[in-house]
Amino acid sequence: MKIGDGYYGWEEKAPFDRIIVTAAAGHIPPPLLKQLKDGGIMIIPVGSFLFFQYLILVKKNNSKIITEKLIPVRFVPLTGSGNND
Amino acid sequence: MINNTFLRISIAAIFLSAGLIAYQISLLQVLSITQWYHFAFLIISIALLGWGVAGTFLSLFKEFFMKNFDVCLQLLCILCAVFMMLNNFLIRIPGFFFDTCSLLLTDKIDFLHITITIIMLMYPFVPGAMVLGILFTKYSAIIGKIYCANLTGSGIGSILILFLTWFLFPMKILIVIAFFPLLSAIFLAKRNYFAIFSSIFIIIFNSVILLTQSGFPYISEYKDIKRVLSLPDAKIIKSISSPYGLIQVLSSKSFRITPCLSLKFTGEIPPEDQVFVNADRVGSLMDFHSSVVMDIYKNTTGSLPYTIRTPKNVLILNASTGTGVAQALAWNRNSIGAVELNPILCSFLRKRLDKLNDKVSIHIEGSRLFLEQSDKAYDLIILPTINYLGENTGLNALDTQYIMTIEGFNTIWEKLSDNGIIFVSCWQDYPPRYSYKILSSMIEMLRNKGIVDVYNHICAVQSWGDISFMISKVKFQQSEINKINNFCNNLLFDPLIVPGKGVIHCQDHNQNSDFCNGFTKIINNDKNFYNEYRFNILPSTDDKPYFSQFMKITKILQILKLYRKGDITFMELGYLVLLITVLILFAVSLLMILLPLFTLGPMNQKKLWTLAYFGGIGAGYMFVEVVLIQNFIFYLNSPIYSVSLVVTSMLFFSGLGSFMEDKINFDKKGITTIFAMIVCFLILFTAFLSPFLHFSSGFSFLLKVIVTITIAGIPSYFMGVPFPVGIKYLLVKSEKLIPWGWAINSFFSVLTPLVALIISIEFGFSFVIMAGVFAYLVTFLAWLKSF
Repeated sequence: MKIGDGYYGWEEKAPFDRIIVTAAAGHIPPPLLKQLKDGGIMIIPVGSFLFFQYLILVKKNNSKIITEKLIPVRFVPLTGSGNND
Repeated sequence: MINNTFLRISIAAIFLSAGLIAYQISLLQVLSITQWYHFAFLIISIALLGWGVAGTFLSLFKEFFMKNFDVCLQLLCILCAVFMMLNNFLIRIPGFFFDTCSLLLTDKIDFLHITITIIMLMYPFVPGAMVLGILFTKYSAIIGKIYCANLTGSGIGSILILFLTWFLFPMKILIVIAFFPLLSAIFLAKRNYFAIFSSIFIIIFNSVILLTQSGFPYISEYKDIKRVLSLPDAKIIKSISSPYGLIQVLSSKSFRITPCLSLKFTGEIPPEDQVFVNADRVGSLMDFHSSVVMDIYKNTTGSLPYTIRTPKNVLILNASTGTGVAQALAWNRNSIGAVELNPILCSFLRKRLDKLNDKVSIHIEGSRLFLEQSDKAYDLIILPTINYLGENTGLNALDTQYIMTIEGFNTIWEKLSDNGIIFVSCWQDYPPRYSYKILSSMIEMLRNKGIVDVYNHICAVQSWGDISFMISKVKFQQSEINKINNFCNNLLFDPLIVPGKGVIHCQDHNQNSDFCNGFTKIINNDKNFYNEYRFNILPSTDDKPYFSQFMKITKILQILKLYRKGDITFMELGYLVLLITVLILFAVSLLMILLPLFTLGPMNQKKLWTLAYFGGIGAGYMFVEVVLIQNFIFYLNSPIYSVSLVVTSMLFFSGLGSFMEDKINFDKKGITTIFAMIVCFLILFTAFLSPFLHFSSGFSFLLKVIVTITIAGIPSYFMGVPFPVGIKYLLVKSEKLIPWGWAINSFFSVLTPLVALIISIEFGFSFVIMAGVFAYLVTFLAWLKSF
């Protein structure tokens, strides 16, 4: 287990087949995209902190990234220590 | 002696009136911070409700107040100050007042909490208004002079608050205002040492509160700043009070936000300080000199116009903290204009640009007015991103946005160079509203311009979060269409509207909601689609400039049902709260109008006359005020200046009218002329106000102030006459009805601003003026029919 800012993922253990983000972000974090394995899938709520976000499914195939908006959701903000360690 | 008494009473009335209006405007500002503008707007009606309730009390207990005249006046002034101070504490208590966003979390509308909130915001106005009501009743023979003092004080109060907001934080201003009724009490005290010492003691106590209490209210948990402050390392590093709102800068190492970024971007996104106006986020303080930041902006949908053409003169409208400027700088543009109304945001922008200032010219102006005055042609005009991240869903339904109207787009189009482009991005919402409305507005403008092949002039691309529209003055070339496709492929975006091809169903990279069907119908001008769609997505116009208002009043219950089922993610809470409040205030007003009939006796011809006469004046005056404020917001570029100047001018000239009425004592012919003048002015407004304001929009600010005072003032002079005329008439015919007439006037003033807002949303501002004409005609007819 690692304690840190989820925004940065876990570079040392990457890449990952599946990434599940359980807090809302204003954009899809580039570090998590980088850590997603080819053929991998990530789900992440993206949007405003309060009102609602969309749960977005991100697929990576042959370095091509496809997003799919699933459902509107409400999550707490994606945050952590703010340090990349 | 009468002169001394008159002077003393006039000064007291001026202090009290100044305090009451200043308190009302300050509450408006505080509620804009703690909640949102739609809620703050209600304070105008809530304050007037206080005046109406005061009138009802006077009607019921007139004899008691007249018998204990001096003591009542002093105690009521002191009570008014104490209530103001008490409210200052209540505003700081979490959850004490109704919160609009609580409607998001519950299945039921909490009418009780809304009613309690209205009462708790209203009650400080009641004793203050009672003092003025007692003075009106006691000195009805010189009502014109007392009314003049009342209106002059109100004018002074509204100007005073403009200055105070530059120097004090909102809650401190509320504390300062409590001094005014106390000063009034001292002037009314004569030799009542108990009242004098009590007032002085409370002044000292209030001074201690002023020095020790925080200047900030409790802010709704649902406001942007509260959410960002919940981040572990977030802190406010700067707060500035101004008539443009409370501006705060917040720093957090965890807060990273960027416009719709390509998923190809793999670099670092640095945290940036965020700027909030009235606790709503307006933008980031990005580093214009950082290559990392510039790289981010090159990888967003905002890069589209720079990719297909090389615009030399770029204009950013509503530039805010400078996102559009950063985008243009990322593409090495050297002639960038940034238009922003808020001077504090402009100063932030100028400071951060530093050496880049020679590339960017900053204009402290409203966007629409700047464009109308500009003689320059622009290759690219960028509008602010609409509903970014879905942050303000439904809460700014009552805000007017003149840049997003058909006429606004027409002005933008006129300022484009031959090869110019309009660019606007919109956050994707479901069901689509913002994206449909912005498209319908732009398409309608193109149609008005006589462009039939709209598909050749329009382009839209979507990312994972936004849709960006581009409108070109000339047809897009094939080489440019290829560049659009390459841009989308390279940055993982999808074309939605391809020039020449039309709306296409492309979801190669982003499988979002299907906008194609709606876009096709809007571009094909399918009237049935507009009628059948659950939401109002018709283009907004200058007459109905509510771009963010989508709720169809006829489908409210259906939308509420869908929201509760979870089928839609948000609804226009602003409009909903307005409608709920109108219902509550109507019920309260009706009750308060009927209540005095217990002591005054059942309805008869005299009372019907009083109802029609004073109701007509109350409604007519407020209809005119709402229309003038709205028109001058556009003209003066600022809601603050518009409200202050229009209200002050109206009050001052109405006061002058009342004063003159007292001197002249108009005969029946004179009164008929006065009403004829009022109606003539209102009809002239319908026909010429808007064209004249557009014609004179290039005047200097000083000249505009003079125009505003003249246009708002002259009709107000005549509108100030009917009230004292009515009071004097009752003095002769039925004196006991005076407080009731005053209460009716106030209750109609309570409902009218809200009704005017609903009329303007549903039918347009021109109908609001006609409603004003109708109200004054009712008063005139009542006048003609003597009893």
